[in-house]
Amino acid sequence: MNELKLWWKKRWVRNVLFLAILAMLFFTDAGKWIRVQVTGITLSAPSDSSQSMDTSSSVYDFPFEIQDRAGNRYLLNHFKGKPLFVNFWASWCVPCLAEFGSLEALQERVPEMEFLFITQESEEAFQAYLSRTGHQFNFYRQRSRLPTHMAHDAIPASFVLNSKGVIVFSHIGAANWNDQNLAEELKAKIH
Amino acid sequence: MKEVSFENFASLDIRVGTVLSCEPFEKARQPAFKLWIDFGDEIGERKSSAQITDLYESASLVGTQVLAVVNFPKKQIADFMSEALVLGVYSNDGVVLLRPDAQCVNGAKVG
Repeated sequence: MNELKLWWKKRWVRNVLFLAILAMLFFTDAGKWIRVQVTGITLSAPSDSSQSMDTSSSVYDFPFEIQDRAGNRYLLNHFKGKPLFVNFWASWCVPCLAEFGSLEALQERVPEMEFLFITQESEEAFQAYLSRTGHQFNFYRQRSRLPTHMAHDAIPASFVLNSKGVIVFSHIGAANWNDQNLAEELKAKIH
Repeated sequence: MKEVSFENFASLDIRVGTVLSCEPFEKARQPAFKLWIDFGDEIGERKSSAQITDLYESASLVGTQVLAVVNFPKKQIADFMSEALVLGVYSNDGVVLLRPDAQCVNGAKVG
C-alpha cells in the first residue's frame, strides 16, 4: 500500500497526463482527428470486388435519390453520361474520413470522373460536418432506398460506374486511393 | 396466455413509415440507432431510438419502410426524444425489422 502511494506520489503528473491524453483521444474532436490521421497511415490500396456485384444492368435503371447541402434533390441518373465514383460515408465513421485525403488525390488523377459522397445521417449531423471539414467534395444525403447493385454491409463503400451506370470497380472498407496504377486501371475501365 | 379484447389491440396506433436518416446512437447504453421516420401528412416526421444494430449495422436503412407504434408516450433517452417504437422480431441473431410486404403510403394504419 505504501509502495503504491509512493509510486503515485512520484508519478502522478505522468499518470494524470496519460489519462488526459486517453480521454482526449476517445472523447474529443481533436482525438477524432488524430484517430483519422493514424487510420489514414495504415490504409493500403483497394482491391476490386465488383465481380460479386450485379454488373449486368445499369444502376440508373433504379431511381436513387440524393440531396445536396443546399437541399436540391437529384436522381443518380442525373449524372448519366459521365463516369462516377460513388462513396458511402458518415461523419461518425473514422475509416471513412481517413480515406478522404487519398480520394482527393484520386480525384486529381482521374479528373474526368465525377465524385459523389453519400451519407444516410441526419441533416443536422451532415451540415455540422460540412461546416467544419476542409474537404471540397460533392457531399450528399441519401434520400431513397439503395439500388441493390450498390448493397453494402459496411462503410466506407465505394463504387465506380461507367458512363452507362454499370459498376466496373468496387471496394468495401477504407483504402489508400492515391495510387497511379489504380488511377490507370480505373481510367481503362471507365472508358 | 392472457386474452385481450380487440379494443386493446386497436388502441395501439401502428403505422407505416419511411426511414429518412439513420445514425448510431452513441450516448445510448445499449447499441442503438437514431432513426428519423416519415409517417405521412397526419403524423409527420418522428424520431426513434431502435436497438436493431445486430443485423443492420451500417446497412442502408434510408428509404426503406418500417412499422412503428406512434401513440406511446414520448421517451427521453440521453439527449434524444424517442417518439415512436419501431417493431421487430427477436430472432437468434438479433432484432429483425417488421416491414410491409409491398410499398405502402406513409402513415398507413396496421389493423
